[in-house]
Amino acid sequence: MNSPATEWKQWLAEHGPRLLLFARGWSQNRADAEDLVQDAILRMWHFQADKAAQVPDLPLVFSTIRFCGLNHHRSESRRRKREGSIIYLNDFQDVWLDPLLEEDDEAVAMREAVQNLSQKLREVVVMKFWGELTFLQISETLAISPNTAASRYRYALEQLAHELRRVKEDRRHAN
Amino acid sequence: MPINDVEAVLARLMPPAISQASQTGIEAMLDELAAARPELAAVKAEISRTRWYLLSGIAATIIAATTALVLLQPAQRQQSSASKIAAPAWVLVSESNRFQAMTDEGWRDQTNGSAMRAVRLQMVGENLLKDVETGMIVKVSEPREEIVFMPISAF
Repeated sequence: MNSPATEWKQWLAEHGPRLLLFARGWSQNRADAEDLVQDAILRMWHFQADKAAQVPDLPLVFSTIRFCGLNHHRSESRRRKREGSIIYLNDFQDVWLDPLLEEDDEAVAMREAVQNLSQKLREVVVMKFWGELTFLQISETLAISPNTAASRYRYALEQLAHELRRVKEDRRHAN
Repeated sequence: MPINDVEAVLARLMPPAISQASQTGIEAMLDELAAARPELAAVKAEISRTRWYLLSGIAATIIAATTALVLLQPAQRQQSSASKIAAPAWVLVSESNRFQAMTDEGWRDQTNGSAMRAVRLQMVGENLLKDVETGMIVKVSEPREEIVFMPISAF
């Protein structure tokens, strides 16, 4: 039988990327998202201590990341108000998703479209598509009904389809 | 563009891995947390042992009771009522309930037309049982979920 730390490390290796992707929606950059994942894992460890330190269920971890993200967002807003004069630059290499193939323009356009979705829709898409959660699990994570979760997913895909059509038309006009 | 096509494009994107530095940091944190509570490593084994002890205890009690009934039946009438009471194999030492989470489930309509607020409670019942023979104490945890309906006053 593996030690709890070893089991958690294996679990992290398997689910780390999808947790990081979800955390991106609650942070300004990749480093902040990684801190958020670490914070959530720390909380989950203490929560699971009474359950023989078993690795946690994925929906619960998504929920915890969301909770940590909300907390972080509040403190970050206060900090930004204090440091209003500082200009934050975008890191253009700091992407949420990687295309599997090189020079896949369609996938790159889709990546931008996903990033530009509203928070509500993006959360559902990330949990459903890359988190592989059911609509029931998503509904429990977000405290909404399964029907609402399914509607948000469908609406998000319609928006992504629209955006992709627009990108294709722009490209055709440019050529 | 059909939604299936959108999903096909989404499938060509994958979330990047956590950076090596962060992965190392989290793993070091897990090692520290595990080292701070070494008893956790033994908890899993203890859970299966506890289950085994309980089942063994129950089975032993049933066998002992059946055997006693069969063997002692002729002499039973002559014995005093006090000696008839066999000592139990397991004694309940303590009993407690611990709340883990409380979720507001919103309002629910009752059959009489009144509204009630539903609250889902997640709790863990913990019983400490003592084996009379060996003096061994076993903790039995039973997680459970309950929905409590609370009346809503008129306003």
